[in-house]
Amino acid sequence: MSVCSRRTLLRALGIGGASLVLPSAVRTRPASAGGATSPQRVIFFVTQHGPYDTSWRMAPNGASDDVAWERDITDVPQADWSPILAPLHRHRNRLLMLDGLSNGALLNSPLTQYHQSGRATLLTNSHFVWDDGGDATGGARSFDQILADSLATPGQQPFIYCGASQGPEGQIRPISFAGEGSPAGIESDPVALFEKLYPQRGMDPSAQLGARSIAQRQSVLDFVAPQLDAFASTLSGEDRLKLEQHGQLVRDLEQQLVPLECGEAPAMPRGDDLEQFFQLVALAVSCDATRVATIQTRQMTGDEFGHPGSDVHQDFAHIPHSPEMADYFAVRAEQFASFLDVLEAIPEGNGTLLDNTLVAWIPELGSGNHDAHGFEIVLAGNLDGAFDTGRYVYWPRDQANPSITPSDYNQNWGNPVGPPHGRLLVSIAQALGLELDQVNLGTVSGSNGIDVNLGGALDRLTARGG
Amino acid sequence: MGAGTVSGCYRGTHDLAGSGDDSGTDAGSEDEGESPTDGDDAQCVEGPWLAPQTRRLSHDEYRNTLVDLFAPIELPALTLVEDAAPLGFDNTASALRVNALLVEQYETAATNVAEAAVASLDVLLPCEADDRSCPQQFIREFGARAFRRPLSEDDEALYLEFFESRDPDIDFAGRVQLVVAAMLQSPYFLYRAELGQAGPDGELRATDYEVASRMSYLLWQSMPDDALFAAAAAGELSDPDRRREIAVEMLAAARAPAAVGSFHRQWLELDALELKPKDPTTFPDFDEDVRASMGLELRSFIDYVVFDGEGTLAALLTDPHATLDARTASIYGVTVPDDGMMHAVDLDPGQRAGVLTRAAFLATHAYPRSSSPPRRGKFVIERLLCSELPPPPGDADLTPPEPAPGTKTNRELFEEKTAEPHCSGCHQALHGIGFGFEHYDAIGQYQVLDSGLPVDASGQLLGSDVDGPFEGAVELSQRLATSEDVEACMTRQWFRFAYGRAETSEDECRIEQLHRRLDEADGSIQTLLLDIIASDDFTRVSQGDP
Repeated sequence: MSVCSRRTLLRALGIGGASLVLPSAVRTRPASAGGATSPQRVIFFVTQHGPYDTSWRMAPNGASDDVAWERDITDVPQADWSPILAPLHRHRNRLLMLDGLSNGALLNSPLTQYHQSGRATLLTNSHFVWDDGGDATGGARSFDQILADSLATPGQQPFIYCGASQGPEGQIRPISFAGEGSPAGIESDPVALFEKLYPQRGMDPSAQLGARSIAQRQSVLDFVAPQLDAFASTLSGEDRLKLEQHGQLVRDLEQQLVPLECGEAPAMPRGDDLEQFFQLVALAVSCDATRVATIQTRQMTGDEFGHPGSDVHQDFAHIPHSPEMADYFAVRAEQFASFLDVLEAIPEGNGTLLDNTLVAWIPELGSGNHDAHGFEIVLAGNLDGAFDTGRYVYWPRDQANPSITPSDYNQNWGNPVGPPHGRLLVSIAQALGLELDQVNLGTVSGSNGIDVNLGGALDRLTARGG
Repeated sequence: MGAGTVSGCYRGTHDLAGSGDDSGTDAGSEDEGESPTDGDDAQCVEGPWLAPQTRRLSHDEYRNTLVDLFAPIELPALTLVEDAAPLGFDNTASALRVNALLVEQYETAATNVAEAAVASLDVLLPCEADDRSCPQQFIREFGARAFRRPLSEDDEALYLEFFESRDPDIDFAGRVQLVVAAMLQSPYFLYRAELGQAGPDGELRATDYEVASRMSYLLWQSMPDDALFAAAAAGELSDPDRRREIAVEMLAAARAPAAVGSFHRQWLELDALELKPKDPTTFPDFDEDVRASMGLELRSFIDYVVFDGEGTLAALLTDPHATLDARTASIYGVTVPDDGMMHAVDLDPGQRAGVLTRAAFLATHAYPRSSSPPRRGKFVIERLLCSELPPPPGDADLTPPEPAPGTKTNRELFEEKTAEPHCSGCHQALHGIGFGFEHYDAIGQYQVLDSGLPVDASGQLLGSDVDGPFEGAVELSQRLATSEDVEACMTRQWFRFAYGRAETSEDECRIEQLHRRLDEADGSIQTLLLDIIASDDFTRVSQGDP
């Protein structure tokens, strides 16, 4: 049995309010500098598998993989872009490509369940734990929710976690967690998300009155919550915690049941589920119904990336430098580019929504062969100038962590490694004005007894050539 | 003791939760490795019953319960975020938690269902709306069905007070609607309590109403019906013989196939069928209709065996009977009228036996273009023999070999691919079984030639009580049908499904006793269910924290 005290566990589950979870995350500057009033938002786009660097990387001529380099991508003609990234060319001024980060939370970690453990650690930057089904799952509150704890204001949806819950790979493992072993529920129905943003749409006005009114629905939740507490009090151990958690979530829902003020309802966005989610998330952040969103994909089917009848995981993912994997990620890049199109099309202040939004495309693994190093990440938008975009930045594998010895990462995870991705999360938090120096794990012990620092900001994001 | 490791293929610690790691799963589910009791009259040493005190309804249970609670009123469709399914079953209590989204979806569902229910107020109410006692009568009668037990006086007063204290502008129907919405979000609806009450000897035992729910959710995946509620009210369910009598009637009811079907659907991993792409060049006639048709065929077959046929585990593995439409018939090379109807046929017993030779199973455990000997072997080892396999090593190339028409068979390609010593340890066991399926292609069609070369479907069973060489999956099925290990493994999985939890070391003897009885009943699945329900364990509850 877990030796966690009840209070610790409740806290780990994210219950008891943001202050318990993140006492140090105090906003130190207004969301937007320079007198502008637009809120700052962050959106994560997490996709399956990992790309092979041969078809992703855009190294300048003569650059070595053994030394750090960076490249101004704004004047590189599209024909010279890598096969995967070429679809993003039209957004080149808004992009910051990061290449060579490692997943520090997997350092010294058991070699198992690559996809699950990758997903469990990517946004948590925490050691994974085992769930009841024997699968690796998140060991702490994930970064998207930590951000939401600080960014959300009353009446907002703190964050939106949406996308596919099922795909060709079966049930999709979560990437967003309320706390240790507590995956967030993902909204997989675009229509449901639309109706949450525009609750009045298509509804008989009288439906907002009477027994269906928000006030009455809140009264029902208010009535039910004490029953959950009463039932919890008759239970012990894990069962009791489960019911206490349920009671708290009912109270949270009662607070959040207020209609989101997204104004006049547009038509339901068209397209496939992912296209709809892109548009709905853009609508949600543009009307400030939420400031943090995580979009999760399903594995694409063979015909979606030009290889009908194939299964990308079985047929291509593990083959080093597979051209089909390049095709796969090129489609992802085009999807990401189309999402940026959507954000750029929405005016805000003197510019567009993308000026005040950071969008991060993060593949779940460093390569198709499950590496936890060599991550390639694309940031887009710049949070009101926080990041210096238009660049491709590369870290070699041995630069940031000289203390990591080959035995620290299991042979298959590769070694040595580039800077831990937790630092990128810290940089994002700091760009949003949060006083945060680490996300969950601050250090990991290397097998040589030397602690590896996973915290602090990532260098080279703001200063050209720095 | 059913679970072990495959010889020559070491897994390390045996962990029933399947993580294969000791870094975080709850203890208490470790197989301590003591020897099984032998002899028919062996008594289990009394050990603690380590069980959850409550079980949230699975989504199937929730949906079925709503339908039965409001029948004949039609209900709106509802969306629920998927649960984890540890042990392969979606009714495992430890994983049935809520998250923020599910709480919201429960609220939406309750709101919409309540609205639909009061649209048929006459059907919903047991009384006339203008009758002064109607609110109380409704709360008492509907509440008892929603909570699956009579309401306490306090409960009743609480809900009546809620009814009466609504805003003045909420009319009678609106108040009924709010009461229904509240009951559907109450823990007493969403969760099954398994708290019990102290018997004469001071031991906690499940109450009659808790037992009624255990019976109905095990046999029907839904709430008790009026007869079962009446038996609970009459205090009959503490009597094991009476439970057995009632369960016999329940298994004859129209609802009975739901749970048996759900168990087998999950055991055979059939939900994955719809997610398996098939190569349109190799299989131009395969489409979503064929896929749906083969799934229906296998479900009908299970339904037939358990409820109309021999009813045994052996028949499930060997019976060549099929109920199918023209689409699946063409996969099997038989002809039935193409009228969209299901037709009963006997398949060629040289080519087909029970579940392991059915198209839906074979297509689920296959690649887009070719069969998958490792996956089919893995299924038999893990799901029929309850042995454990380690995951492939991290650098294993899990890509199926490229077909080599006219040059090499699929079997030869897999033999080559896994010839390395660090592969062959496990693949010897996997392929010993998996190669026996080589007469069936990626969509389950029987083939004499593979890549233009003669099929070699000879196999070798390892690590079971029926080890030895065999020829083809029909003989494999017949062999497994005689295996005590398979019988023990199926008992173990029914135990998990019935109690919604992983077994503990304390349960090994209990499972072995059920297995003995199953063996005496020639593997009758209905008898196993009846034995579970009539066992002394069926009324056990956790004795709480010491």
